[in-house]
Amino acid sequence: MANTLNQVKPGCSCKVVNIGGNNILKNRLLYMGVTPGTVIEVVKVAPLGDPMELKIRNYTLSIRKKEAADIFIEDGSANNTGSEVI
Amino acid sequence: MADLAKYTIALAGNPNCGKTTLFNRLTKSNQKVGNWAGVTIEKKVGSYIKTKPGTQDKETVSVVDLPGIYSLTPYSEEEIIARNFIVDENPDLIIDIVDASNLERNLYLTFQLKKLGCPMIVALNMIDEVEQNGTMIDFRKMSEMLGLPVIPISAIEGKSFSAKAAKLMGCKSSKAAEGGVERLIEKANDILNHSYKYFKDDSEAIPASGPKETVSSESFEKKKFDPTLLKHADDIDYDEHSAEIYAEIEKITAATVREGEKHVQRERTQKIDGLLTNKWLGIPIFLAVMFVVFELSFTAGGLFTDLIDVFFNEYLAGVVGEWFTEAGTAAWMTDLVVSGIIAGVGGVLTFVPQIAILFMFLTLMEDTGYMSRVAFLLDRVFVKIGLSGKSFIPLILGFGCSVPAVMAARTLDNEMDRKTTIFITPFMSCGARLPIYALFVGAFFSAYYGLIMLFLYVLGILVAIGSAWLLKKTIFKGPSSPFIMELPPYRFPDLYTYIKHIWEKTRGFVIRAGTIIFLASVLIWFLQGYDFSFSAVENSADSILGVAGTAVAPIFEPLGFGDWRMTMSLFTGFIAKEAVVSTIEILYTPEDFETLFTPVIALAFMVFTLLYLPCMAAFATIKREFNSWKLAILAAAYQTVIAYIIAFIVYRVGLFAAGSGVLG
Repeated sequence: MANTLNQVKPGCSCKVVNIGGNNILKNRLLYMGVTPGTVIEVVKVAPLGDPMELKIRNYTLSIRKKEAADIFIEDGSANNTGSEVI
Repeated sequence: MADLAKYTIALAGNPNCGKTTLFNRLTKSNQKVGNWAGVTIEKKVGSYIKTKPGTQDKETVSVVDLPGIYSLTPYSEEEIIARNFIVDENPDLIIDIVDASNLERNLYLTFQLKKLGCPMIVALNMIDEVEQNGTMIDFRKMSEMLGLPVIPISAIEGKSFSAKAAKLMGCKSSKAAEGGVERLIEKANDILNHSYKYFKDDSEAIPASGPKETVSSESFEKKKFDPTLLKHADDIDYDEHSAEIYAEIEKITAATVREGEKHVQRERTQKIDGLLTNKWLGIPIFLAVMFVVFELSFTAGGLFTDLIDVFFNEYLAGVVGEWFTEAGTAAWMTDLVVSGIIAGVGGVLTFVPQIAILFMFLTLMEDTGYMSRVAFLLDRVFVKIGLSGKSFIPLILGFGCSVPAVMAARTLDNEMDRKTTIFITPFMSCGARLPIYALFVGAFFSAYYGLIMLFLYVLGILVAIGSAWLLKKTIFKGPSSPFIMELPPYRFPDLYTYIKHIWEKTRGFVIRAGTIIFLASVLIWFLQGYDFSFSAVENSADSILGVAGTAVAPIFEPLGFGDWRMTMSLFTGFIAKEAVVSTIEILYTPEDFETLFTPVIALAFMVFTLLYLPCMAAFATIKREFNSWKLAILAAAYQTVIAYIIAFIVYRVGLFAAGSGVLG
């Protein structure tokens, strides 16, 4: 099974390989800069467990885990960046 | 003003890029706020005057503030409006405001705008923030690579209060951005003077702005978007060129930006978020913030409310009454002005301070960036009833007044979520209903004040939740749109822009008090004082209102309010909820009140006033926001039917309980 963004732990970064899901989702993520090859850092998860806070292209983006499950990431690319987990 | 303008400039840019601040600086006080045709999205048009080169002639340049958007794809009304404005109205120039601290994503829109073929300038905003981190940007090179003039600016720089505050906080003003706005205007005027239109194939004509088509995409040729596309958004092929555009952008940033060592803003935002969206503290802090906002709005606003109430109902009514008597004005005229107009309009204006204060906090939460954190914190809760975290703010505002609450639903990007939220907002018990509860609880349930209040507020919330769930399953069914939301860096709002925001939101309310409420007050005054032959009546039961009330009363018989005066006070409640109380006080003698109302009827009556159709001002706002009479009437009918059913249940259960001796 391919790795997806929703499995990445807070404080870890990963590299986007591809985006699945419907065209609306795909297009909106793409124009917000979630393109293949982009590095995404998972900053934290909201107190109630969803949505996620991501750092991408020098800004902060929030998406639900449901959307994150459509973002495929490079195998084994999830690694701890050493940044503080809040 | 704007219609006679010789030139038109369109301001485009991402949300949170400082567009409004720049718009305010360009156009100062020459602004007009309206709506874009057919939608409720705010349209701001302003203008400035320039001199025709070589002459003394003045020319007007109109500046249109396009909605803040991330892209020109047809996924939201904002995106369609922005794109169609550029295609249909052919502005003479686009000023694209780019947040230099968030360069890559902002430049994406720049690339799309460029493809529309209008003359364009890139205003690189927030240069001061970037420089603070030691980041260097090669503007000349960027301009060359983009094929567009690039001018570094800092929109808040200058004499503004915020600029001074920023300096006090240790921010250095930026050398590169110094005089940037002036240079931007100069450059804009220069392009306008040469009247370059569609210089697509005329790269020599404008220095450093010739087209460099690096990415070609048929989907972004100069063509209009059909608004109906929104309904079929999923059928649109995704733009395969997004990745190519970003690759192009990365090339530009790699060649022109040298990242500094520091991350002042990022670290500040991270620190604040460490508290505000903290796993344990985030939600408690949010609840505390909401408590303070409400407490202050109601107590501080309440002080003004009392003052305004005294001013209108005691001072003004007294003074005007005396004037009229001295001047020998007819008694009916005095009565009309004093008990009709002053009481009616004054009654509505008393709520303006509370609304203004509530908006003060709300706008502050919005302009600093906290609002999107609230949506982030609460999204999970709202997903359960088919809404999104962004629905929270309109609903919480509903406890104050439905009018600003319904307007606040504009922040929802999913059309179905927005409509559902508007539909259920009136179930949040608004401040104007408090006097009704106060009257009945005081008379019948004084020992259970807190309990009855809690019951009413919770009932409203439960009905709202149930209705949201039902609506999302039926008429507002639709694919839930993905939740993709930027969490912008925390920033100080520009004071001028901030005050302007509050004023724009409060103004509409004041205007309504002077128009609709004014006319309605006159009408009600007439209806309860005159009969069908237009002669004044002694007993209001013989008035038009009395006769009509008696005719309609049987409908409300099953709920226990078969007396025409109860029915009619519900009708005047449509003018304003607090009018229910004043109508009851005018129409009933204390003895009648105590014999005709029983505790069970009082409870059913309160439940009905909690849930039935909102007041006229709220209804008018709902109609405007839906942009549909049909939906607005449907909402009002739904609310009234729900009120009828639940009040009926309360009355019958109450009667049963009273009969079996459980109650009273």
